[in-house]
Order: sequence, then structure tokens, then C-alpha cells
Amino acid sequence: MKKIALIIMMAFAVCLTVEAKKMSDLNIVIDPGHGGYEGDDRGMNIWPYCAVVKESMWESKSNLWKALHLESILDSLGTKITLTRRHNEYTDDETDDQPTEPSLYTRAQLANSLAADAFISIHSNAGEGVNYPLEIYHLETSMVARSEESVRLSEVVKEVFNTSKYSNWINSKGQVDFENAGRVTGDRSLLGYSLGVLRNCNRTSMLSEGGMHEHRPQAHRLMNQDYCWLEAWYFAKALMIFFDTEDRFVTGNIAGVIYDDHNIRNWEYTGEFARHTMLGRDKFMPVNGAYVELVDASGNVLQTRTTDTEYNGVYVFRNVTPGTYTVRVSHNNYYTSEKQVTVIADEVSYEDMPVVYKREAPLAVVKYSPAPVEGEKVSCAASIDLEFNWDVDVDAFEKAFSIEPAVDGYFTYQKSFRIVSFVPNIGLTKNTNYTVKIDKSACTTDTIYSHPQMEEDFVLSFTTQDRERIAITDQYPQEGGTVHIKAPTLEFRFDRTLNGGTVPTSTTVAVYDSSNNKLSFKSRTGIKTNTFAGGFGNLVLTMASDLNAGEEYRVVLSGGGVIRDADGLPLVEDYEVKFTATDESANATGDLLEGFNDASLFAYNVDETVGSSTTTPKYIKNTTDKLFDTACGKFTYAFASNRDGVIVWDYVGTEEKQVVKGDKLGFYVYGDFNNHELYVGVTSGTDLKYEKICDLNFRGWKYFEVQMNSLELSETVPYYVLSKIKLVQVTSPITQTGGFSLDNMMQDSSAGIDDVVADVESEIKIYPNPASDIINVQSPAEINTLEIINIRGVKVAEANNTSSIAVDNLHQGVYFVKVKTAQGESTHRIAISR
Amino acid sequence: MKKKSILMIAMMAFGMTMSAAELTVVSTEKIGLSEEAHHPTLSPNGDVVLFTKPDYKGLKSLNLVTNEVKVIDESVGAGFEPVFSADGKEITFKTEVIVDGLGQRDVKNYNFETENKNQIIKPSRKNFDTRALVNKTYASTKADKQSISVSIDGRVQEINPIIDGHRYIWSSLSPSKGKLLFNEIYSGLFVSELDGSKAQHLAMRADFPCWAGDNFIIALKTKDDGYVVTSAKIIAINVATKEVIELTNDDILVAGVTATADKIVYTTEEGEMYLMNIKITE
Repeated sequence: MKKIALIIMMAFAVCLTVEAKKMSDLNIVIDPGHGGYEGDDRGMNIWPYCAVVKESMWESKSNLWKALHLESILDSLGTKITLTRRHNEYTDDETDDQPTEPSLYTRAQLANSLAADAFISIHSNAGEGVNYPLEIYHLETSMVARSEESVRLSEVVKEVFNTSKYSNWINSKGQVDFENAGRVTGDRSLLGYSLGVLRNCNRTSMLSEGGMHEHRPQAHRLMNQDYCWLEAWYFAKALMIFFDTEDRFVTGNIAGVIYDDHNIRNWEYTGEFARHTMLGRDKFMPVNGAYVELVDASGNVLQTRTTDTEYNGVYVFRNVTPGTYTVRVSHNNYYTSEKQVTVIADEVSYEDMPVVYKREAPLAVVKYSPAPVEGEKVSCAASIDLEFNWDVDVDAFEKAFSIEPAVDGYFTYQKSFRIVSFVPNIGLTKNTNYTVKIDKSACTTDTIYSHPQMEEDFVLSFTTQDRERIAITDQYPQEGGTVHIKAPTLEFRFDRTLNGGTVPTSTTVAVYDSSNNKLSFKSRTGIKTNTFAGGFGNLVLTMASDLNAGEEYRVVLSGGGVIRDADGLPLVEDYEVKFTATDESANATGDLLEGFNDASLFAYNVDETVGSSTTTPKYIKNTTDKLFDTACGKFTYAFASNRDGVIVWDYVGTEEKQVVKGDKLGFYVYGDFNNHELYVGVTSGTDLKYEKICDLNFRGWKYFEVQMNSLELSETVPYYVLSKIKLVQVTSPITQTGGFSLDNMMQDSSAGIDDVVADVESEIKIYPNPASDIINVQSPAEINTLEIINIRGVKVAEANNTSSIAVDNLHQGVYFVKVKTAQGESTHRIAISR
Repeated sequence: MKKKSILMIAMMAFGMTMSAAELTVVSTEKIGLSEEAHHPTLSPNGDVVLFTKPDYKGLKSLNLVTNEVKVIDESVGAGFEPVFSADGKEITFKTEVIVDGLGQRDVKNYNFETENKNQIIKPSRKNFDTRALVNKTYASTKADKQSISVSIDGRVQEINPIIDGHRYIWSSLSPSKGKLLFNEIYSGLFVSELDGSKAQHLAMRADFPCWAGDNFIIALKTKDDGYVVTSAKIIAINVATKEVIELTNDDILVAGVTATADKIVYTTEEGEMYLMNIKITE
């Protein structure tokens, strides 16, 4: 019995507390987010101000406008409303004379101390590319909302805002997307941290991002008082729904945008100012200064609006009694337009008003290209550009356009369809006569104007030049060539420098390994283009990582016109080169003759040089490109012209580097891909002999061997010494300036022994070779004397009437064994190793 | 008896000469609580500090002498601006329930000695001024925050020191009851005579202001980017000279502060609580 009585009492108590609420029961605190005109107040560089000035869009300003309108609306309903700020003249720096905007803690404290029934911080979002509202509540932890009521308030605001058709909820693809319009989220889940204004607030609270002002049409709307009023009205409606008040708006509103039915925003402004404007309805040019009338069934004009000069076209008729009305739009430059609109209480009736621009003169071509003078030929990269006095109707224009011979291409439109370009997909054909015709059926979209649109056909003829595509003139590597494994650099050369607008990127140029994996280029500088004298150009690709020795790779330049030269001519087809990675450092044989670790090994020989520029050739110690040890030797040069140059460097090292006939000299060369010829010079007395090392037709390290067979030794000329490095210019390289490096010059004397023996008609055999302790001589004739002569020609050992001689006391190196028999004597080279 | 676990994290000692008065930081210690502490309130003698959760739910006390923690109330809103009696033996606070979407608040009283807790006003839509219920001498902002009530021994005067249409928060009397401190949200922090006259502007941004003796105001100076607080430092303002000295740096984001003449207790966004012992000489 007691239990039943308790239940009855509780039910009675509930009945008492759920009596209908009124808006006048509510105590609301509204926080216009930010404050002032400084860096964190979200000012925007917007058309037509072209600077971030007070008159342009500021989130702090539109937030305040919305809040003041909301205050007015709620005040009219009897709601106790308090704003956390009432103006926008703040500074962030307390040392200034101006007031500082209220702190986030102060704003929350005001709501807490007022025991507000709800606290809403009003913002707009700086998001780009899309436009939808975002309603944010506070998460106490990453997963737990502080207040379920705050979550519900956010959801109600979201649902109400989703009925606004101003913002269109456009996604990044330009699609109007009501399904995914609006988002509700917790601050920590969205941002990873709590919003300062919500963190200390213990009221039912939220932060509303009503739209995304980086979506420029939305930014322009936020500069309109009517738009801000309507957002305020939505907040008031959301509060009515959230608190389930008996109050509801008994009137409705009419809202919309007055916009040009065909001209788009780039008629007047482009670039940053038109960012994200090419989406949905918002791509069209809003009409400034349109006079909008609300007319009742009796023809009485009830309200009027004149759209502002902020490029939003917004109009709102506020608090309209439910019924059917006519909205009439007039403007000096547009035909007057009317629409019937039905107003429903507590709703917004959207009626966008596309209006038709008056084009009261015939359509005509006022400018065109190509427009060659007599005898002038047109680049095969040319597009057909036509500028009209009016915006053309796209469908009609494209039907009216023809080009003979036919060319595959596409149309682009600028300045709101006033400039039309026909762009060939690849390019025009060389040495061809073309005729472009615009049939007079081309027209504007003004169907009200009764005059014929084009009065006569437009015809344009021209002949193309003799060049129609990019030619690759040289490349490293060549097809099937090799490349040193160390983060290599590849290069392609073209008959024309590449176009800055179509410079290859990692999507149009790629290097693949044998498993078809796309390799990365070096960050930032991995893809470079250069322009050379004469208009030539190149593309230099530097890999981010080392390659694998022995693996086959391929580099692909994309065709189809995605890569073009400075004339706009395309690389027509994909260009693929296969190559194999090699470890050049593993190729050497023989002994180290010069390590190139010192700075003073070579000196520029001005007397033997021909055709050097005023820039003195140099030899420097280089630690960046080294292949071995601590450094390599780098030779830099600059020829004065593109032909007949020779640059010589003398070896000035302190240690004599002896070379004899038959020696195999190994050179590690770091090439500059300038194709010049590189020689090594050796000297004995006045006798100078050059042997070609390589053509510098590669980049990075490669190993070359030179067989020194041309040396003429004798008893008086027992050896030569390293004396020169010579660079011989190859005519017409694309640059006269460059540099190559050398590292670890090797000497393989054993390679020449066989040659020497093979040259001598003798059956004498000497073994072992190389030797360390003793040398044995096998001869069909009796041996009288064996002499060991060092490389300088000095006899260092001798033995008589024996077939062997001790060499254990000799230094390592190259020696000559002179064998004297009754039938004569012969000399043989041997090596002694330790 | 709970183990006292006060972690000494820093010993800072620096002096500030401000006109005739000088405030010296003697030491700073981290208070080793096993739970988060937010929105601290010191008792008049500084022996007890009240703390709560970030959303002001629940109210607990920490005896800084015994390190004993007491749970006073676990209700919503209990931690928002609790008021000590002048002798520090009692506190008065509000708790809140949401009924049909609207908040209703009661008023409770708690005695530290008896540990008795009583609801002294039943829940209603009113926004009671708890200070007026506890002491006869106090300063308190009115429910609509458009004026300040100053009561001296029960004689109440309603004042509006700036101009109409403003909103006042964080009002209090100096310990000797000679000066009025208040924050007007559009204009900043002021100190005035008890009747609101001779209002002196002390700072634009000075959150959670409170008295440290009669000569210094302790407050939080914050910076934000409109979304998050990017800097929150404790400042000491010399009432006579308006000179402002920062007592903490940007290594720590302070979220709440309270003070007496010999100590400052502050909390961080993460719920850590620190005790800063200070010395004020005239």
C-alpha cells in the first residue's frame, strides 16, 4: 500500500515538472567566437577587397552578427539572453589601448555563473573544399561525452541547420549531398584536445561551426546581415525544439540567392578569390544590387530587399505570414523575373532566383588566335582561341565549331564563356593548312533577345610549322646500359627546354625495379629540369636510394602530351629505357697507383690548353662524390665556345707514378654526361703519349681500363711516368661547363706480362710471376747471366750461370729480368709481390 | 591516517618589490593526490583546499596539514564556487539537477567538524547567491550579473561600478573588507571602493582573480587562438602600483587558481595540483 502511494506521488511530481515550457523560461548564453581583427580572428582575402581589411570577411565579425541577431530574436520571445561580447573592436595584445577580447575561461565562467540553460559558441569553419555545418560538444575523455544533453543539443542544431539550403552541403566533388550534410562530433575525437570555451563550462553547451568559410561563396554569404539573421533564426528554432517549448514561430521566412543563370564567377574574378566556387549553384555569379520585392496576392509590396555588393546575392524576407506570395526581381542589366512562393509557419521557403542577363547586341568574335601575318607559320602546339563579345551557349558553340583537317581536342572556357579555346589533345600536324569555322548558328543563352545571334560565319585559316613534337636528343643511361648503384642520377636531353607548366612530376616520370615497384626520387630535388643555351633542355632524375647490383630497372617518361616543351609541343608516346645497376667499385684489378685523396695532385696547364673560358679550370679534392677512401679528385672546366677546346692538367704529385709498356691502367671516372673525351698522358723525357680513357657520356661512376701498349721502352727509356689528364671538347654539347672526377687509379702490371712475352719470339719462361722469394728461368739455351733491373733502369740483382735468382730482398713492384744466353738476350717483365 | 605524500618538485625563491609591499615565492610543491583535482578553493586560513572535477561535478576537500581527503558531495555542480564561512568551518554550495531539460538548483551546507550536510534550500530554477547565505559581509554578483551586491554586516548595497549593460563575474572583498574586486567581462579586472567608486582598471585578462592579502591580486593570464587556451600563467598584481608579475611560465597550462596571504594553490588542465608558498611583507 505504501509502495503504491509512493508511485502515485512520484507520478504527480513528474506531472508538475513537465508542464509546458516557454522561451521566456530560458536563460541562454551565446558566445560569438573569436573577437577583433587580428591573426586568430579568421580574416580572409576576399573579392573585391583583395586584401585582409576590416571590410572583408572576418569570422569574428559574422559570429558577432549572428549572435546579435539571435539576441534580438530571443529577446523578442522573452528569453533571458546574454552575449559574451557585444562588439568586435578588440586586440590580442594587452599592451595596446584597445580592450582585449574576453578569454575563453571568462566566457565559460559567465555561462556557469548565470546558470545558463544552454551555452552556444558560434563559429564558422575554416575548412576547405566542402561546406557543411559541424556541431561540437565536449568530450570529457576521448570517448565519454561530458553531458548527454550537450550531445542532444548538438544533434538538434545539426538537424535544424541541415534544412538550410544556402550552404548547399557541397562536397569536394561539387555534389550537393544532403545525405551526409552536417556532422556532430566531440571536441577531443575531432581535434584530439578540448575546446577551451567548452572545457570549463558546466552548462548544456556546444560550439557550432555553421558552415565552412574557406568555401568562398559561403564566406561571401557570411558578409550579409540577412544570411546571419537566418542562421540566428535557425539557432532560435533549434532551442525551441531542444527545450520543447510551446513557443514556435508562427511566421515563416523566404530566402534565396539572386544569381545569373549562365555567367559564372570567373566572369569577374579568378584564382584565390574563386577558390571552391565552381561547385553546384554557387559557381554562378551572384547578382549585386538586385531589387527584390515580396508581393502579396493583392499586388501589395510587403517587403523589399536590395542584394548587397558582397557577391552573395542573398535575400531574406523575414517573419512572413503563412500564405502564397510572388517574389519579383529586377535589375537594370537583367530581365525582370518572378516566382510564386508559399510560406509555411516555422519554416524557411527557399527560392533561388536565376535571372537572365540582357545581351542586346549580336554575338561576334572580337579577338582570335592564331592570327598569323602573311607567310607566318603557326606552332603545332597552338590552340584555337576565340573571344566573343558575350558569353556563348556551350552546346550551340560546340556544334557550330569545326576544324579541317579534323583534330582530336577539347574545349575550355574562360571569363564566363566569353573566351573559348579548342585545345588539340596532342597537337596539330606539322606543315598542314588548317581552316577553323564558327557557323553563325553559335549563340548566347539569351533567348529573349530577338535579333539573330551571329550575323555571319567566322572563318580562320593558318599553316603549321615544321616541328610537331619533343625529340629526345641524348640520354643516360642508353637502352640496355649500366648505372652505378649509388643513388644514381639519370638524364634526358631534349631539343627544346621543357615547359614550366608541364614539368614532369612523379606521376609523369617513373623508375621501376624488376618487380615493377615504383621507386622514389630524391626529395625536392629528385626531378629537375634545366634550360641551356640555344633553347635546349634536359630532365635530371636523382633517385632517393641505392639500387641493387645486377637488377634490371626501367625509366618511363609518359607520353600523350602530359610532358611538353616550352613551345607546348608534346612528348607524344611513352618513352622507356631499360638499364642494369652495377657496382662499379668492384671492377678493379691490379694495384693502387693513385688514390686521389690529396688536394695538390694536378695543376691546370695553361700553355697546353686551348679554348678555355675565362673561368680557370681547377683540380680540387672532393669528399662528396668519392668512391673510395676519403676523397676523389674533381676536375672542373669551362670552354669558351662549343668546339675545338682542349684542357690539360699536369700531374704535380710528389711521388713519381711509373708506367711501362703493357701496363693496364684502371680509372674510376665520375662523368658529367657532356660527352667530351678524357685522356691520360704519360711522359718519358720529352716523349709524351696520350691514351684515351673514355668518352664522358655518362653520369656517376664508371670504371675504365687503358692498355698502355703504345709505350716504347728501351734501356734508356725503361719506363714512363703519369703526367697529364686531358679533356678534348666534343663539338656542340649543350653546355660548355662541367666537371668530372677520378678516384683510385689502378695499375695491373701482370696483365701486360703475357703481352710482352707474346711479343717476344722466345721460348724462355719465367716463373712464378708474380714472385716473392725466387725467380726461375726456363730456357732452351744455356743461361750465362740473369739480371734484375728496376723500373728506373737500375740493376738491382745479378746471378751468373744459374737458372734462378733470389728476389726476397727486393721491394714490391715491377721489375725486368734480363736473360743472357749464348744465343742472345731478352728482357721480361715480372712483378714482385709481398 | 592517510599517508602524506607531498612531492617537492621545485624550490623557487624570488622576491618582488612592489611599491611598499613585497610578494616572495618561497617554494612550489606538487601535491601528490591519487586523483585529478580541478577548480581549487582555499579556506580563509589556507589549511583546506576544495577541489572538484573538470565539469564541477562533486566536491572534495584536502586538508593541507593532515593531507586528509574528504568526499563532501558527488552531485552535479557541487564544485562550482563553493563558499567558506568566515571561520572556515563550514561551506555552502549548490548542486543541480536537470528536470525536463531545465536546470534546478538546491543549496547545501556542510560542517567540517561534524561532517553534517544539510540541504538548506530545495531545488528550484533560482540561481542563488551562496555568499549571501553564508556571511554578512561579502560581495557577490547578482543573478543576472548586471550588478554587484556588497554587504557589510548585513547592510546590502547594489552597485554598478562601470555602466549599465555590463556583466560582472568574480567579485570579492579584500580580506580586511576595505576594497572590492570584480571582473567586468567586456572591460577586464577592477578594484574599487566598496561603493564602486574609484574603480581602478588592473588588467584586461585576469581569470579566477582572488586576494592574497590586501595588497595583491592573484589571477590567471591566458592567451588563446579562439579555440584553445595556448598560454595560462599565474600573475600577481600589486593593487597599489598595478604592477604585474608572472609567477609561472609557459611550461605549464594553469587551469584554476586560489590564494590566501601565504599560499597559492593551482591546478593544471591535466588535474595536477600545486602548492606555492608565498610571503608578503608590507
